Amino acid sequence: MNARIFIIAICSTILLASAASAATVYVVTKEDSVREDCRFFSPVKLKVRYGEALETVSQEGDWFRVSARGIAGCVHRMAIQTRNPQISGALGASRGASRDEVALAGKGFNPETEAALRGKGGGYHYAAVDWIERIEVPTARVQRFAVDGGLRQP
Amino acid sequence: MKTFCGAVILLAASLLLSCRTADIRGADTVGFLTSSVTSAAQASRPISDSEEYYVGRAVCARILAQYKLINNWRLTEYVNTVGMAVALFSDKPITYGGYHFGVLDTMEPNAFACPGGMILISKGMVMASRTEDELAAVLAHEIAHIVNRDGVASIQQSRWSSALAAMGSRAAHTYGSANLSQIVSLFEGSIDDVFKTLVVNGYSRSAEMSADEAAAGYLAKAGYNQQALLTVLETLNKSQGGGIMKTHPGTSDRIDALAKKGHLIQIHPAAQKARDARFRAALQ
Repeated sequence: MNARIFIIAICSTILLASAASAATVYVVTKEDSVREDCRFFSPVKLKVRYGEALETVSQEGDWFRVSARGIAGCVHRMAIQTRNPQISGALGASRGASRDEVALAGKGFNPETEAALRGKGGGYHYAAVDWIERIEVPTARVQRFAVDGGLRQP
Repeated sequence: MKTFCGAVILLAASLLLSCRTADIRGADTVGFLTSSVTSAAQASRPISDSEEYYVGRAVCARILAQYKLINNWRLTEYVNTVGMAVALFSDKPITYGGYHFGVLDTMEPNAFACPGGMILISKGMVMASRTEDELAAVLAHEIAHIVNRDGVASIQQSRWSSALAAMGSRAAHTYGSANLSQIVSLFEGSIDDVFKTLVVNGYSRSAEMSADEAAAGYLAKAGYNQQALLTVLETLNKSQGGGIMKTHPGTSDRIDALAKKGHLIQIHPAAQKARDARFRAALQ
């Protein structure tokens, strides 16, 4: 009986410890992929966007196993950070952020600045930039390209 | 029983260790946030990844106002695929807006790394590369400039303190019209700093050397020949000048440095044949 109570206590400790150590991280890229396995050419399970919160489960090299919207998968460490880049929500409500901090977080060189610059016209060909940015080489194509050319796969 | 308890404790320990988040980027990219603008203005403010992205877009937009993009999807897609094959092995395989590559419709051999991940390479530069490995070497060098943040480093420090002052401290998510006008002016100044470095003055010799060294590493990791960087530099060095040679002085020094470090790797004949075939096909 004592042994059974001891086992239950240990298991509870494990669960509590793992729950406490799981951290919330935030996406810092415009868009990123949660992949099935912790490598670039693994299938994409979910697309996440800038500022979205993910729960880390474990680390595998440069990758983190995470859970997002009930889906488990992997994200690269360069795509996340521990602090919410948006500091969203009501003013001052985000973990002690001051009103000034919240105001500054939304400022800097951002879409508003770019829109104002575009409005000035001339000297900037943003349509061409948008065209280049729309070029997406599918992961499967890059993988095939690497295999055919004897390149390594990340 | 003891064995079982030991296993349970080991499992708990491994769970705790595996959940560490020390390797996740901290708040560095938003580290400019301080409790008041007065103190913020005094602080040295690093540029965030998203700001770097908007600076890069504007720099590219300015370059693209001078150069047209090539109307050749096959070549554009090929350059993007080679670029991605290298970028995934860089020290920063993921950027805020991702890596994208545009081909400029000019025979002047040139390449520009706009901050944040957009790279422009001229048709002349692609043609100056004699193999896929040489093209990969040029792209790896430009990727290294992005990873090293050489473009944003050329923005004058004084612009940041001015920008912080212009942002204002009042709790508003958007700028007032006066502040916006001021910040746009500072934004333009920053774009100008980067543009002049990329197109007119070039990076410092140490930045070029550092980018070469990093590029050689990316090439080797990706499975491309490191010596391709050396051979493409030799080709450019023999050319008549202009284009990239105007902004990349000291090429002989770089060749000497690479000659000591670059290693020729053996590529399987079938893989080499595939690389040669797709390189020729893309250039047709």
